[in-house]
Amino acid sequence: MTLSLVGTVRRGSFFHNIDLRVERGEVFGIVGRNGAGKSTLLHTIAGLIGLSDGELSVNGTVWDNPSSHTWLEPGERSCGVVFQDLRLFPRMTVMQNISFGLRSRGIAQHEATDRATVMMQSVGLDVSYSSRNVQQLSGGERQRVALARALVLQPEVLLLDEPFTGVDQHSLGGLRNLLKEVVAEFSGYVVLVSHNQTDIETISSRTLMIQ
Amino acid sequence: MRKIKRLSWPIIAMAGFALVFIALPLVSVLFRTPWSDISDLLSVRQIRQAVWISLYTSLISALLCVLFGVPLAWFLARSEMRGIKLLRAICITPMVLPPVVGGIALLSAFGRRGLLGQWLYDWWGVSLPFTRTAVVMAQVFVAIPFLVLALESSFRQLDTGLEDAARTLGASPMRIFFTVVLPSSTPALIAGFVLAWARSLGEFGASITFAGSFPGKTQTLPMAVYEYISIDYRQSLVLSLILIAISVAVLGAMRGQWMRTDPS
Repeated sequence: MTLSLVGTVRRGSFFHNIDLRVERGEVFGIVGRNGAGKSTLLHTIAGLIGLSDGELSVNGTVWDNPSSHTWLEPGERSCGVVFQDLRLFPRMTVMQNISFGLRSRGIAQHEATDRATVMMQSVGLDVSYSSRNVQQLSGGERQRVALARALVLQPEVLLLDEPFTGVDQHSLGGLRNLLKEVVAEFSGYVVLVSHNQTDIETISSRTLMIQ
Repeated sequence: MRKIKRLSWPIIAMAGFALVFIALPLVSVLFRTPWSDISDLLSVRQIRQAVWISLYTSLISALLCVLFGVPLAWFLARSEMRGIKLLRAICITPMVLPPVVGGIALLSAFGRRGLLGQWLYDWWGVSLPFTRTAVVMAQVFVAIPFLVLALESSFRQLDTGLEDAARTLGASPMRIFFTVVLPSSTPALIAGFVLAWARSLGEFGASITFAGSFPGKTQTLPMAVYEYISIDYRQSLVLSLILIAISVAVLGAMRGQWMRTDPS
């Protein structure tokens, strides 16, 4: 059971060579300076960028292989993403944000609401927040919404891009503990990216430095 | 605190001249309008019909502009196909075209001898020119670029990151458009709708060429204003006042869009 990403990604005139193998249950941390291609790597796994050559496979299922013309759309990949800039839908409430993926997959409103409510509680968001607009939340709360939105789909792969940026010092400790719990319970693959080595080391089981 | 002097007198004087040049004709209509006879003048059947036809056709036109202009704006904003610049230029041509030329163009396409119109007539006996449908078509032709332009620039400024996030969550392109893209562009959509509606309401050249000015059938307010100049000038003044009032009301409703003074 492996997540394997070996190949080349082209971004403009840059080519990033990637050789990444993550074992199931493992929390894989990637540290590197800005512009080293950390986000590119996550976007490749999520299906927002395609490989130029090589192969991406998860549990033996090929997600992307240009030479065999295999390509799974982002929505078809069992993959939850917490983006560096979160990308919460600004005109939606907390509940609408978290249940968006469930509703997009055709799950009925009441079931989506129930599952989103459970998820809210497990990331430490008070249920009374559900009807709030996400723009009214603090950095730490928004981070939790983004995490809940990714986790509620019960993905096989969880991608975390700089999960502590934009979080104030006050909520940092709580969020770090939450993330530790979440990844400890997570049975699939976690890939975590940060420019901060301490963040990575406290959470991940294996760390890769990229230049 | 001392106020910093940012403007010099010649600038102020010339700006003032321009302002008076714009405002004076508008205000003059107010002064010249025969207020005491206004109810008599408005009770003329032809006038009431023109008001009704104008409101009715311009509203339908604005709605049609939204129905077809929104997908067009989205296509222009997001398509990466070759020749998209040329397509965009074609789409906004009616904005700069003399309206009467627009009318001739519509006749060339949809007239009984027109490129498409001859088939419509030969096969189904449908003749579009000089009907109320023609009024709406002429209005949509001249108004749709306003909506497309307003929305396209809004779509282009949108953060595609949100669309990417929605894609990873499994949303279809249609769902992304309606739940993520369109709600973020609501102000531009409203602005585009109002602009298209105002342009439709004021349409004259293309409509009179393609639809004619038949009272009770295709005659809109601007056509009635034009016709009454030679028949009863006071009537023209009253109708002009109505159109000015509507335009000012539109501006008032749009002040959030255009009258914004902060740089955001």
